[in-house]
Amino acid sequence: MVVTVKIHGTLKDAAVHPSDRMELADGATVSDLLIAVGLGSRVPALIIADGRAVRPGDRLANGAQVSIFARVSGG
Amino acid sequence: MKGYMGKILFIDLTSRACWERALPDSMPAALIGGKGFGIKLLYDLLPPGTDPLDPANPLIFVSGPLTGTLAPSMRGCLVSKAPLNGMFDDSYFGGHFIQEVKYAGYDAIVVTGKACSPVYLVISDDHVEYRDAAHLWGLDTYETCDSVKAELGDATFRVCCIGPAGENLVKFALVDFEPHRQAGRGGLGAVFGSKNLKAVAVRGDKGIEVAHRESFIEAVSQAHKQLAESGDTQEFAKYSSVSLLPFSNEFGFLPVRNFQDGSTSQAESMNAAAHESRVWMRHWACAGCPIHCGKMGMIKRGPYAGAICDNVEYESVGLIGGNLAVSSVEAMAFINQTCDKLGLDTISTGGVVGFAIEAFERGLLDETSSGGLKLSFGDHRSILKLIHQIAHREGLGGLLADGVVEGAERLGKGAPDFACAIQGLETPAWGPRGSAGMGLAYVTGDRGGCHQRGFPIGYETSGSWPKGEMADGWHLEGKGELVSWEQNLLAALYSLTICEFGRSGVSYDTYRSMLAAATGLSLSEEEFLLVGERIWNLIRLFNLREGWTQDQARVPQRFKEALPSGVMKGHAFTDEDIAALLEQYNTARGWDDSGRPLARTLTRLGVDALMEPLFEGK
Repeated sequence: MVVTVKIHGTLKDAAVHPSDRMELADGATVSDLLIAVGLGSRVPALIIADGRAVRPGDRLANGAQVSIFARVSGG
Repeated sequence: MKGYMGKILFIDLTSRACWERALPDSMPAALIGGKGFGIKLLYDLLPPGTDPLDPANPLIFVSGPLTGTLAPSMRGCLVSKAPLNGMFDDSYFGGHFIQEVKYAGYDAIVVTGKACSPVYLVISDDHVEYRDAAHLWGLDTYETCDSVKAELGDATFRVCCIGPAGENLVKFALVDFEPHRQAGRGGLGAVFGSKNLKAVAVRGDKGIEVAHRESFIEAVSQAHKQLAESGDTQEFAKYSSVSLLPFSNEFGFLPVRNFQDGSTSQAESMNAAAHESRVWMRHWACAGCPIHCGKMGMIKRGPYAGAICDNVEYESVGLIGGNLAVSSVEAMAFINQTCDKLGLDTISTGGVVGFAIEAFERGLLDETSSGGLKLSFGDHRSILKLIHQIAHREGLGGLLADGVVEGAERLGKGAPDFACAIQGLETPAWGPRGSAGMGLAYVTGDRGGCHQRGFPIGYETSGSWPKGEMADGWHLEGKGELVSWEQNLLAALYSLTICEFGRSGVSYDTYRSMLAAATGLSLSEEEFLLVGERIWNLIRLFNLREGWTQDQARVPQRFKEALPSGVMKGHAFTDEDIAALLEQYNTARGWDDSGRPLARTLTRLGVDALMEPLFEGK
């Protein structure tokens, strides 16, 4: 399956494969996606898939639009 | 008590008298410092009902027990009654100024009265000197700071000052603290101006004793370790606060064209990477801060090429960039610097200018009423001209210099519907549509609708908070408890005068450990929150005394309309939402239906005892 990914802030600098479009095995989880983009060892502040917060164990849907944020605190 | 200097300096500009007062023994345990000391002093010293620009309104510079020690990332606090909305105002600033206040021997400096002609104050340890400032009147903040330092001939002095906006009593004028830090919100620069006070310079040689040296060093080391390991801190260090832009833009929280929208296709050109590659040149930091979120840079291209400037924070990118549709980082940086030099709060300025442009587009203003200006979103040249008019109260600036609420009321013709302010404070760069928690924080904020008196957006979008799961932003349930809890926590942390960016890394336990080691005040998590709740209640009593009513807990029509874009598309923040949220909130706080603390709440918190005056004017 294919998901669209946007990685923001310093996480984009740290990502090994900061691609906008990632091919993953069917049934892949958020954690699988983080490993695929090279962020397996980082803990993002917030991951959004299709407008909802998701956690590493959550499964992704084919065609999901995912945003990964390093920080969401105020300022 | 260790950690404190044990003295407060009082200065009366009218009589030119100054005197010291010992810090009352009861204050540290009850209120810690910072915000807590500030409200106690203001509550006691301000004659009820006093106009913010009356000489009797005190300006209170206040520190915390960790300020000036090895504890990292501490700021100062400036407290007064706000010219913009007549409420309590505590505005925090970085830099080096407040550390020198403590080194001079004071936990706080209180300035009242009005000089008969412009002056600046020079405080060197125990010595207070008045200097003529007639030749400085009219200078911008950068020029004023440089002139004062040159006249003093001593680089160890730290200076704060106002620009033309403060002199002209613009109700959202700021106080500038060198280098490039500001007490921005609420118009405290106008309080300076009303007193004929152009600047304050301070230095001192005294040390600060801590109660338990070894455990203090250990707690400070822990704080540094947490800052070094924090992903949030790394984000601030590299990209400053503007790194929040993609998040707010994706969700629809970003102000775009006077909050007509919440997202823009121009976000990519406005983000941190654009600022870093085109303007920033090096990092800089406030006193004792390892984060170095400050960035100095130079505009290298376009009509503003050659200007040396610092970074544009997220809030300013939101209100100058998104809200005015200025997508060029160079123009944004120059407008931001212009506001700093004139002494204008960038959040409020972006709010009133966005309002004026929309009023122009709707035909409520024209070139005659705008003094020849043809206003449009994205036109940075006309925006800059209008900003100069505001600072000098010239042309259309006269209508806007009292804030967007007053300006809209005077303009009439439906203008209040798109005057984006809550409780009289121009709305920050987080629209409330799609975040009921943020909306509730705005309508209950102690200094008006402010993002720094509660930021529930992070908990709502992540779906969790320290007590468990949290409902999505558009749901109302649980938000009363969430917001009151966060307000209490922040009030306690602001009594330490912490920096918002520092707390993104340092844990609350570590702050309490540093406090205990520095002062001997060992507070449990519950006791720490109780101090915050006590402070929040005392401030509510102050605001009620000064005329605040719950009728002010409302939002303009703009926020009641559905958000056009972003993840939160279609959501609004309605009167019905506010009524339901206030019911939750007042119950959680132990307040009555009109937002007034119940007697049993005040007794539980020990606020009754704090109502007894400890200070009085001389």
